[in-house]
Amino acid sequence: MTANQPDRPARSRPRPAPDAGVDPIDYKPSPAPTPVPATVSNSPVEGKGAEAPAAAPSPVPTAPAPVAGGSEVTVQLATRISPDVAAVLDAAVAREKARRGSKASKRVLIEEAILALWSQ
Amino acid sequence: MQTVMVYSEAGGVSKTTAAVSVAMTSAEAGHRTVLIDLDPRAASTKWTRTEPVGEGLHVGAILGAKEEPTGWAQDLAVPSRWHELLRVIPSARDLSNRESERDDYAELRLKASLVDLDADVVVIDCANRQGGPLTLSALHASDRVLYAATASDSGIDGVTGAKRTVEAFRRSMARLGAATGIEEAGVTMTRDGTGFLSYAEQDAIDQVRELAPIIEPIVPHLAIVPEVRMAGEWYGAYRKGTPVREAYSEVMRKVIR
Repeated sequence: MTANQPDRPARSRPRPAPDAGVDPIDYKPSPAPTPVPATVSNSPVEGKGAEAPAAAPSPVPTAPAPVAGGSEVTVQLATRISPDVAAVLDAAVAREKARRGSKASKRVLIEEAILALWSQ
Repeated sequence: MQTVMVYSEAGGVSKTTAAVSVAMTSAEAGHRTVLIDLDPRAASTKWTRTEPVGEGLHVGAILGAKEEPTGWAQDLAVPSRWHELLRVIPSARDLSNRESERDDYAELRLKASLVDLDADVVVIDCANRQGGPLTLSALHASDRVLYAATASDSGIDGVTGAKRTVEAFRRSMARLGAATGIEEAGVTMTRDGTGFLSYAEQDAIDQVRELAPIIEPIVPHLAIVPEVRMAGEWYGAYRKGTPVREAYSEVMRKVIR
């Protein structure tokens, strides 16, 4: 059985960059996507001591939506967090995945929480 | 496989001469060697007269890949007419477009492309950049960094800046908790001719020595080098290039383990 299995998935073949041949003087990077205003769930974050913001709920922008056919502009956020908070995040992702499907991810929930708490 | 990036933050300090020379002497020593031109100026590409395997299929294809570029280096490496063990991944002017690359993890594409590369040694000819996507790609892909410097104020500046970039990269990786094995091999220095060192040259050498170990010998920059670069030839093929070739062979033996 294993003798018939390939070592790994087939690799892609090299292809030119999408802007190959565009002279640097003419090159313009894709514009940053405009944040799309949208409502966000105000359900409290689960976990010990965590409560929903006391302020009245108001629409806050969500993270920039991916650009169709283009690259989404993001920045690297790499930090270590406590196991307790990680457990809260994992549980929230699991719960939101059941509710929203594949659109719920750690990134989505982190972005929503940050925007809900600190967005002006 | 060992990957060495040849780097300085200054221009005109023999980066390309060092990168091409280390790569070629490595091939002459029996190592299967791939030289990657990671500079939009494409000086090594021009010197070695390398043409890409297809339109747009230069190193910019790897750095601008919108799909996983694992293993692409093997497909993009072009055999050199200089030596059967030397291959070159060429560059082009539009590699500069990648300097505004903002995709997540774009800086890891070069490293991914080296997977399963049929080579013992990879030498990366870097651009004189203060960090940025090109330099970060090289830093992620390399095991060792070889600084290149002329015995001049530009040589000192270039090594000073390059060391700062490497140290910042290490700190950044440490903050992420990621392992980086990149180490400094030292500095390969060139000076004009073979006569007495001028006071300025000696001063520059002393100052560079305080920054990083100098890999002896100091390489003489002889007129044969610009001559062969204009002609697209290897100086080692000419009698007048022998002192340069011997010097870089010794440098290569100290850099390639």
